[in-house]
Amino acid sequence: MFAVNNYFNSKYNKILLENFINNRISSGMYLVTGKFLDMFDKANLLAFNDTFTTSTATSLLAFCNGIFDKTINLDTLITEGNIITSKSAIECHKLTNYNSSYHSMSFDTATSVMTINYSMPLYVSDGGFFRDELNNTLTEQLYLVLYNPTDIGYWNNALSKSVRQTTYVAFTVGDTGTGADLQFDHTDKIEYIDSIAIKVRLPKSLL
Amino acid sequence: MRVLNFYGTTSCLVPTLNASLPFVEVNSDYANNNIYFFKGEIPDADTLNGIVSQTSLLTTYADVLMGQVTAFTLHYSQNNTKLQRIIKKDPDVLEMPYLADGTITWFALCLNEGTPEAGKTPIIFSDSIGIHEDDGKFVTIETFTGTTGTMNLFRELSLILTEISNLEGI
Repeated sequence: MFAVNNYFNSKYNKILLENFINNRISSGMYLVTGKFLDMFDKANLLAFNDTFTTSTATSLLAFCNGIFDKTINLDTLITEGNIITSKSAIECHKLTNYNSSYHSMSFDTATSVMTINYSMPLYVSDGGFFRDELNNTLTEQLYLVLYNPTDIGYWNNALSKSVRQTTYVAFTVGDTGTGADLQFDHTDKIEYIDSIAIKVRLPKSLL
Repeated sequence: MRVLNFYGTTSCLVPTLNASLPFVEVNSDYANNNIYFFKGEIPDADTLNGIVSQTSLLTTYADVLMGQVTAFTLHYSQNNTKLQRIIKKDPDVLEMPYLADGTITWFALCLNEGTPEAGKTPIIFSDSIGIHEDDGKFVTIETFTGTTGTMNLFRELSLILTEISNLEGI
């Protein structure tokens, strides 16, 4: 057993959450599908095993930046076959109009909860997010993703070497009553998000 | 919620705020840390989470206190190649007389902060205790069981925290 008291937990949670999430809100928010994150994860998995190769990018970081910027040709990826085999339901829309003046954070030391607020409307790029882009179904999970275009070396024990990895934190988006992290009234098209309020907390114990 | 590679955990785990997260190594020494050893079953994590300070710890568990070592130094180092935070005490073995009869089962490590907050102490609790050269344990001592006044030894304190990718082992 390895436990910590509330003060310890709050102290380090605050440092972690401020640095991790705050930086990502300011650098890039996106509305994406679960299939998009699956593609992101698969590229990282290949990179973790030191087998990441694609003609569409020179590095994992360039690839990850490219799929968010839509400069990666998905048809080429399908031909290569190691990251995706279909582009069905792979969707990504950047939230634009970010202004740091409307971004605030607060930390409750009693509960270790970090609250992040953004109060300015954010516009969904490319004319909005049509639900019927997803084969007329609402089954594909949507996420609000905080992405920061940086990578870091993780140690791969099996390979005994450091390998590059990228990172994100994603909140589920769904209709009212679905239990999603962020909930909307039902709409067929998401053009903008009025405001965002996120509460996050890390676990009580480190291990 | 879905997260990939939430890094920074080990990088920030030093007594003062590491404002340069997540890439800068912070290596430092902090004196005046205290460790307390107790007998009996270690309380559950929720109970321990509610201990606010060293003072409240010693008040609450005075009846099961078995030994203590105060004012020792901890060395914090970081290995950014392996994303590891290493926390160790000086290699010197420290004397720790038994304060009561019984068997040591768990401990509380009260960390000295760079900028202490009145009435609050960051505390780590664990039952990971070994004897002599038991490398797999957080803390090693000379003996588990003793009687009041007999000498025990606080030998080693070594904690290595490693950040691993979510994709490790997949």
